[in-house]
Amino acid sequence: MKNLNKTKVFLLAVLLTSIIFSNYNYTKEKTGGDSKVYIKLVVDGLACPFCAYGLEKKINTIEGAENLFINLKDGFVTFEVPRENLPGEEKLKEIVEDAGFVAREISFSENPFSKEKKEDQQ
Amino acid sequence: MKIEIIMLLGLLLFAGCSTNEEYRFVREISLNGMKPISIAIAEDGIWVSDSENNRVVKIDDNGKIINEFDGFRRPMQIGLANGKLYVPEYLTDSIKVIIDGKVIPFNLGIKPNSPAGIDADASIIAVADFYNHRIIVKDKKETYTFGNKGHKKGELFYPTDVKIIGDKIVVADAYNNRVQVFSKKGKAISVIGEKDTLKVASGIDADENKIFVTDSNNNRVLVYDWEGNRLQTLTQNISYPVDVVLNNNKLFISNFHKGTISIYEK
Repeated sequence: MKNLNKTKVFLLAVLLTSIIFSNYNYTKEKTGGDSKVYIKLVVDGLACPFCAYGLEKKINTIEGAENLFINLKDGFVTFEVPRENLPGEEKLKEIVEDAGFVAREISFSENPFSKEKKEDQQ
Repeated sequence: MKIEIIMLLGLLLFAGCSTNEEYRFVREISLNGMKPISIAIAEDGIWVSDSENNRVVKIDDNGKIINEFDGFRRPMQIGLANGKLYVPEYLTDSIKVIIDGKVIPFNLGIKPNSPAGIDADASIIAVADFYNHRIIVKDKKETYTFGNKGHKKGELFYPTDVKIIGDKIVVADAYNNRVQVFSKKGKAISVIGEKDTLKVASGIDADENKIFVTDSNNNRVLVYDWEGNRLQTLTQNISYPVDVVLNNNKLFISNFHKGTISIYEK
């Protein structure tokens, strides 16, 4: 009886591990991997190129930040960072302020943001 | 009758002279998707800093690219002097020079924090040091700076362009929304445009008689005399102007968001 219980517990543990692992892999596949987080900053006054590129320069100081895209027309910036270097909201606000702006909106996502304003408003 | 004729001729002469002083829109060059920050006029074309695409290009009168230099990291307000094109590179805090088809680094002597604009003459090179709110000047003996962060006369708030003219340096004091005139050694001489509600005075040019400034957020270019009197306001076909260049009585204005260069002529 005791041995039977042990076997059941063992099988249950294996089953649970398999379920968790397969779900982890599924999520990883679906979101394009767990290694990156996508960030979007909506900033007022970004039409000025001196300011926009200044913000770009500050964002480049975040370790591993890449694929930065600036939408000057609609006033937002998107980029991606490795999950292990993910800056908090406060840090991002500080970066934006250092560049001479105030962040109106900060968003994080597992998926890339659209480069057009229209789709993001949906 | 004689007096009337003389008066009429005088009036016509006056009207003729007045008209001659005004700049009028002539045409617009489309840049096919570029966002021009700055322009410089060469003998065989127009240099354009296309910051969005991290390059500097030379175009012909119709906007066709005739020469291209890639690999810059946000080239900003360029300056052409003595056959050299000076390019301030905003993201790398460095200056590069295009000469004889080659891009070479230029040692300024003091490191800027986002160099936004540059000009040179036979004796000095001046750089608008955006995030340090100052101007860096390199002459034949030394490199020195003037200006610091602030809003009073002689202080700067995010300067974006410089122009050396005679013994003076004119500065686009962009976020103080004005132009300032300094001596080459940095003595503050005058402030121009403070009462005209400029919104981002980003680009400038000047000659012995006039100072031209782009008023970016107001979509206009203002023309002043050296005493600070506003002589003309240009608005036709001007959309978010960032730079203005005077060349042979023509004004070339870069329309950043629209991706064009507007040409005015006297």
